[in-house]
Amino acid sequence: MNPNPRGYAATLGAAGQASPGCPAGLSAKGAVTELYQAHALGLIRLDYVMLGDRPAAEDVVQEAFCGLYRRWSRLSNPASAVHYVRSSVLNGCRSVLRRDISRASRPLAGYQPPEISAESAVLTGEERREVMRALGRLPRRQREALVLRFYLDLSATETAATMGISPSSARSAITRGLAALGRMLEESS
Amino acid sequence: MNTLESKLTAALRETGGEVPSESVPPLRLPPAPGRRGRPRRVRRQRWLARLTPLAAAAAVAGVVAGSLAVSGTFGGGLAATGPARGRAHGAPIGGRAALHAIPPYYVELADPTMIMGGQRVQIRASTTGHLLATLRPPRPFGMFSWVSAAADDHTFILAAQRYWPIAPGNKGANGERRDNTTPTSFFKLSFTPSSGTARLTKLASLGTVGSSRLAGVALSPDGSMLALDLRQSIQVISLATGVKRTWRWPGGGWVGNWKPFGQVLSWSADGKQLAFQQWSGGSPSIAHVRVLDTTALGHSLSSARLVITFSGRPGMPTLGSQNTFLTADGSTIVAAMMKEAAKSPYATQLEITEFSARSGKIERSMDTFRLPSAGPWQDVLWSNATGSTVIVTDPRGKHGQQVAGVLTGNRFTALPGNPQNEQIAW
Repeated sequence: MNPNPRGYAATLGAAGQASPGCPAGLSAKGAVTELYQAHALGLIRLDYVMLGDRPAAEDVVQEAFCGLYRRWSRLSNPASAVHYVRSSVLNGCRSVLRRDISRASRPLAGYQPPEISAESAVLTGEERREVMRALGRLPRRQREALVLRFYLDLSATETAATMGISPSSARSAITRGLAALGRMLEESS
Repeated sequence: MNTLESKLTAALRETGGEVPSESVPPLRLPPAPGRRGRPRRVRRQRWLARLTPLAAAAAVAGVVAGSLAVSGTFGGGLAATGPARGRAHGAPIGGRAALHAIPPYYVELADPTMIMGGQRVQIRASTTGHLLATLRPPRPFGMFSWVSAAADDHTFILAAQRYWPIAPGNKGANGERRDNTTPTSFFKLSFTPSSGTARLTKLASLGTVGSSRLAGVALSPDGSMLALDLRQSIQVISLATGVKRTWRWPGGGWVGNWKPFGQVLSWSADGKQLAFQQWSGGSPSIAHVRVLDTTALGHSLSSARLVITFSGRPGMPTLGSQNTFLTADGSTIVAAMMKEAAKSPYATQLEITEFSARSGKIERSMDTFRLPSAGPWQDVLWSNATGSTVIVTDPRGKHGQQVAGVLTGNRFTALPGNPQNEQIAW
């Protein structure tokens, strides 16, 4: 388990902040490989949070970096590669969810944390299951906005850019998502 | 941040933390956009260009006769303290003589489709990297998905399917569904060095396999038997008679790697021992290497001897990549191993490791890398009969790019042409 989740959130933040950003000046292969080394783990974790399926999460991230590599020469601003790949990963998640109808109707609804040991059972308590199940019942846009905002620590503007919507729409999705999440958790308690 | 936001943040981070840091698979990039055919040599490795062409076959253009008759628990052996301190950048450079300690030719799947397989196979000279022959799969097949070699230096087995194998995203899923209506068939590739010709013969006696079921292929060293990893079972087929014998895995998890990649099966020279990977599934997924006595009675893989267990837990040594090889003398299992610190900042140690096939204990570690971040990887591509010479790929290139080479006596000699596809056989 990552002992410092905030570290990953920071790594996945906007290029030029805590992120190593784009290794400009490298060959496409070198640059994409370096970006992968820096961001793959965080992105796989993001996907896993969204999908609840680790192999699918790995596939989506792999595909996103392959896509980045194929389009590298057409990238208008290589410094935006991190934003590009983050959006690709989000799109990949949507595709996986769309493909699987049962997930699409209730993504993460059947989420069950793996049962590893008594120790981990303490960490993955009922409260966390409830939160993840409730999150899975939210509409897609609200769910994505909440994950980007509260897992990756993105600002509302960055969340909007990643989702391809306006900042006001992102803020609205976050507010409504939180309200709905609160209601669902109250009902279940 | 209010209580609800804190609760949500904690739940998301704990869930994300279930993906261990050492589980990040290596990045497998498609061929460079707009570039086809032979991988370009890395210009900065000028010393590669100075290698003298050695084989007479170097000038031979490939002529293809497309005649299609057409327990040692591993965690117990090492402390879970993470990698040692200080950087290391792999084995020092060795001499060109090492290139003569490996088989003279290799077959590589080229023009990768998605992240594995290839639309062509290329036969190349090991000492020069020169292309000796190229073959495409006969119609209706669109690609080769697996390759394995006998020990005679000129016999190879190829698996061919119509579409592409399991791959990321929607395309992979669709391909998988389609491929099960046009299943995998097998071909024998015979290369004649003196004439530079290659002959591809369909092995109809082997029948077909649903492409998404196939997760590994290994030809026995004498070329008489083919072992197939079918995820929940292993099947060994006699090439002469087509007689099949199947061993089933009765427990949870599956036979083979996490994904259907890599060389997960390997034979001893006498064809009596067959080593295979078996993964537990779940999180963390535990990888085992077992050795099956193919001459013993029974049809259960649970009778196979457990040799190595990679626990998959953070801070413990794990299987660093895809391949595991039992040496032909049956004494050693060679694999790439990765150790990662349990605490941040993450540091990774990669090693080519030889384990006793009897006790599972580590006998030798070579080509050590200690790196400040996770992501770089090593793999074993071939081993000689004793494990004294192996072919590996490691991240010694600029910016961590993979370089394939011969490792002998902990000295590394780069292979001319720097093959990048891991679907390769010597």
